[in-house]
Amino acid sequence: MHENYFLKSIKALRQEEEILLYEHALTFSEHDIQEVVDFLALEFVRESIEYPHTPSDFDPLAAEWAAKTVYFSTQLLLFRESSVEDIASAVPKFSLPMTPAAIVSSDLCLRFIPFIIRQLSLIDSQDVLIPILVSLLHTWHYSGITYPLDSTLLDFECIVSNPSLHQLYINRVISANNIKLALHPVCRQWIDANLSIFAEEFWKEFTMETRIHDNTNR
Amino acid sequence: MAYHASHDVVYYLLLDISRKDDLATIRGWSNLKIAFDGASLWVKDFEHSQITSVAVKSIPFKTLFYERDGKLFLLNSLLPDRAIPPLLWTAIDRALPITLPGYNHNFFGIHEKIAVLMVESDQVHESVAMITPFDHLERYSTSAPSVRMKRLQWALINGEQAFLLSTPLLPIPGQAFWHRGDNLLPAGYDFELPVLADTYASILNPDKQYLVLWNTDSTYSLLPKIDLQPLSISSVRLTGKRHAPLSPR
Repeated sequence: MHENYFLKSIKALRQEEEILLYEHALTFSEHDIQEVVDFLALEFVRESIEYPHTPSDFDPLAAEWAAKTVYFSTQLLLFRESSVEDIASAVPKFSLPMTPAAIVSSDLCLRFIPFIIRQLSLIDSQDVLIPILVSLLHTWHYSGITYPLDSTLLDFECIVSNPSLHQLYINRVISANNIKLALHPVCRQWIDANLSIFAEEFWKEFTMETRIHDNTNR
Repeated sequence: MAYHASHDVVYYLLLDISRKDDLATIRGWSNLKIAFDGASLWVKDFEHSQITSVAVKSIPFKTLFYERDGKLFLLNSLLPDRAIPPLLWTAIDRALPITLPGYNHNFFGIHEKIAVLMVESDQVHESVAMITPFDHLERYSTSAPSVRMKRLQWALINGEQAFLLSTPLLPIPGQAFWHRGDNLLPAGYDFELPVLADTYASILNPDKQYLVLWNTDSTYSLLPKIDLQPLSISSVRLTGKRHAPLSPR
């Protein structure tokens, strides 16, 4: 019987937050891929009930690309037969324009990249795959909030354009306690507005850091 | 700060012994000393704030003195009136004991009942819960930061009202409640007999599985604690869908 390893792996990732690896399963039929996209579409519907405002639509291409990216980078955790160039080409590039729908849909899988990077650096901190994934997170930084990115390289234009994604972004910064990102001049006013007068109660560190920040700049 | 000279002055009060009961209001001031001198009694060691207080001013037929150089001067007088009487001073609450009324063994009023009554109260209490129309909650929650909601718990009551518990409450209009244990009282109101709050709770809610929601007209409703669920956008949305036919809009 034909086994869809791609689907099994992504399912385990989404439902158990575990990674299952299957050796030498690197090519998939159209049918296999479509099954994964269908599964992700269902997951998106389930998750988008929790999204604020009017949730953006599902973007199947972005979800497919993200699933592939995550799948192949997890493969590279264990199975390394290829050279450096091959690794770079194993992580596919997203060729379509970046839209709020693409960001939210790809996040279904891309949100696990920070954990993969941590695992990679535990095995070998000089791994060539790490900078590739980090630069990918800099572009798709909604999925990289839990990873310490260089906040000067981030582009917030697409995030701000959609109120639903905008609110999701702020929620994640607060729940991840990413203080460096919260102090970014663009983010800071959003966070301030969201915490309002309860900042001290909700996120003590943030009020402390903003106070220090304001005092040094005076 | 400048030193206030009058703080050091010791004040005396002279009263006829037959008017002993008038001292009831100041019996609680533990710094006072009292002594009995034949048909009169003396109270000493008043502070300036005490001697000018309403409690002392309202004692009738008293004579007030202040002490200087071992002599007693009438209050507001510069001429000495008499020497300090050599007396045995005792603490005022020891010298004026309270006698409690005896237990009435022939009391047959034990079948009398009291009504639970809500009265307006001036005391300030923090509100910990609110009831708001479900529409308001639905409208607010879809645009709210998750950090504002994740500490709260909520339940749908009567199919169209949302009950929200825990602080900080959401910035939407509604009826606020404060709590005495599991009793949730409308803000600005209190039991007429607050000391019985625990008794009410133990009668209405012996297993502590409910929250007792009190209305201003002294009626109450029981809300099972198990019905409360964490507040989130999806929880509100799914509830709204399920109850849509119940509330025609």
